[in-house]
Amino acid sequence: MSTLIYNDTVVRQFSIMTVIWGIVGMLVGVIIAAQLVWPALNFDLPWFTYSRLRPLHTNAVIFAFGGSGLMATSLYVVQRTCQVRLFGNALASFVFWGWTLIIVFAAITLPLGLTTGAEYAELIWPIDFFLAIVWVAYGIVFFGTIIKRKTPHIYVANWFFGAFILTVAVLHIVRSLAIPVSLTESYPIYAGATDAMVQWWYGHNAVGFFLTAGFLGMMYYFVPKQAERPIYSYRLSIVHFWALISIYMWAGPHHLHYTALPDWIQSVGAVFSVVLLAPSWGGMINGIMTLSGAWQKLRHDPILKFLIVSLSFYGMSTFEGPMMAIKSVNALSHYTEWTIGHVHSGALGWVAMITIGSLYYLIPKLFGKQDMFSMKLVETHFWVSTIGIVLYVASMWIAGVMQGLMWGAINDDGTLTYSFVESLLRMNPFYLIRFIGGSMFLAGMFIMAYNVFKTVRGAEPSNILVPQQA
Amino acid sequence: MFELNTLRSILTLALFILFIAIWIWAWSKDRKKEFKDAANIPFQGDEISASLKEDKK
Repeated sequence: MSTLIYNDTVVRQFSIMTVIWGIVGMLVGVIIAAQLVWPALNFDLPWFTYSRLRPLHTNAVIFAFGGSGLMATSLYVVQRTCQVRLFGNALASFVFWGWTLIIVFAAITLPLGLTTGAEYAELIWPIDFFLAIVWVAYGIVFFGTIIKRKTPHIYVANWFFGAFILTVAVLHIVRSLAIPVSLTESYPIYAGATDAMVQWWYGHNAVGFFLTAGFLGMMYYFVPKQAERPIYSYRLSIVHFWALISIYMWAGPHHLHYTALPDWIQSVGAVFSVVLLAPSWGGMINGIMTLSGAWQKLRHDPILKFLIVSLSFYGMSTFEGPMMAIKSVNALSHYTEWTIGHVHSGALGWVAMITIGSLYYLIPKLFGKQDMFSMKLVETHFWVSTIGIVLYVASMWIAGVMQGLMWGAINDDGTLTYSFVESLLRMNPFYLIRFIGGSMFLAGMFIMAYNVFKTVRGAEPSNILVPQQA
Repeated sequence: MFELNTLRSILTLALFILFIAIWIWAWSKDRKKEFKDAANIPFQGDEISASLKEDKK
């Protein structure tokens, strides 16, 4: 019997944890946003300072919330589009429990100050080692299912999920290569500018493959399903897939403009970043145009609102990104709040919104329900989070541009017009607006958690039959 | 002369031609039916609950 139904157990586990980790990660984000407005909120506790909580926030939202969301959706989509049960029952369980254990380890070690110091790769080497094993197991489960598929064609969502899984394995292992000197300390095998280049090759491809390719995989399944019509252009999806994955690899150096990195590498990074606009918009257009001829659905369907607005934010931030990668623009934007605004336009607007929309589609189906407990609350969640993002992003744009201009202002005699503290004081009202915007987004997640709780309470797992070929 | 930079240029050119080739391949008429079927993969197979099916029997 067990081979006749889809393995949705692991999908259910990851789906519920996505909501919980979303709340945890965003709560930490709101706390550190509040600390920037009211520094006394550090309470002089070392583990509660901005420096310890910031990596906890990024790891929790990217890897715990985003990662669990990607695993839930990829393992659901691969079964439905291959028309077979997931490969490896025990291995799939191992992926869930292993991934959850890693998140718990991260939540303990990062506030203790145990870190490698590499952005988005902060975890210490024993956790990195375990993460590599869990990730390979995830890859085996995913590709094992693709191999035993009953459909002749591998659906495009699986190409994106596959590229995400494969590339993240390579990125994680190459970035984490280090020589351990104790249980908690190690030294990277790279030195100087090489280490910086490896770091941003890793860092930007984490954006490109974890936060983009993976979520495009989500988009290519859940947008057509919710809109009840096939993707706008299948051939466009193929061309923009290959363009996206081959160009993203080279864009990392734009994180190191005007540093010790050789100038020509900075230029290569800038050029590839600008070219990246084309394949990024290929994906955005393909998703949004799927609704072509059925736009009226947007008025009544809050799930579709989440999905389509996420694509709009994807389009906006993939336009903004290439602009910021141009060296002369970067001279103004680098190290300012503008970057934080850009990141959250992508992270809240694109990544979180597409995940939330997909989960609202997925969760009732996984628990044998027609719809979420309350579609009204889904609509409320949509508006609260959208307004929250707008407040967040707009305040950081203004703050960032002001910061950049103040830092670059020079008197006639060549001295700086403003001290650093003067620019910091000007940030205060915008930090407060950002705190309010972030709090609204977090409030939306609490609405979601309540709605999910009411939907799944007392519900039975749906046990969907795998279609048998005649 | 034949040096490393020449090889790099050739590789860049080869990749560019490959990209154009993928484009032509994807837009050719022969692919039309295959891609139409592929785009409909998410809509095949009804979601039938095992417990519901047993009830009917």
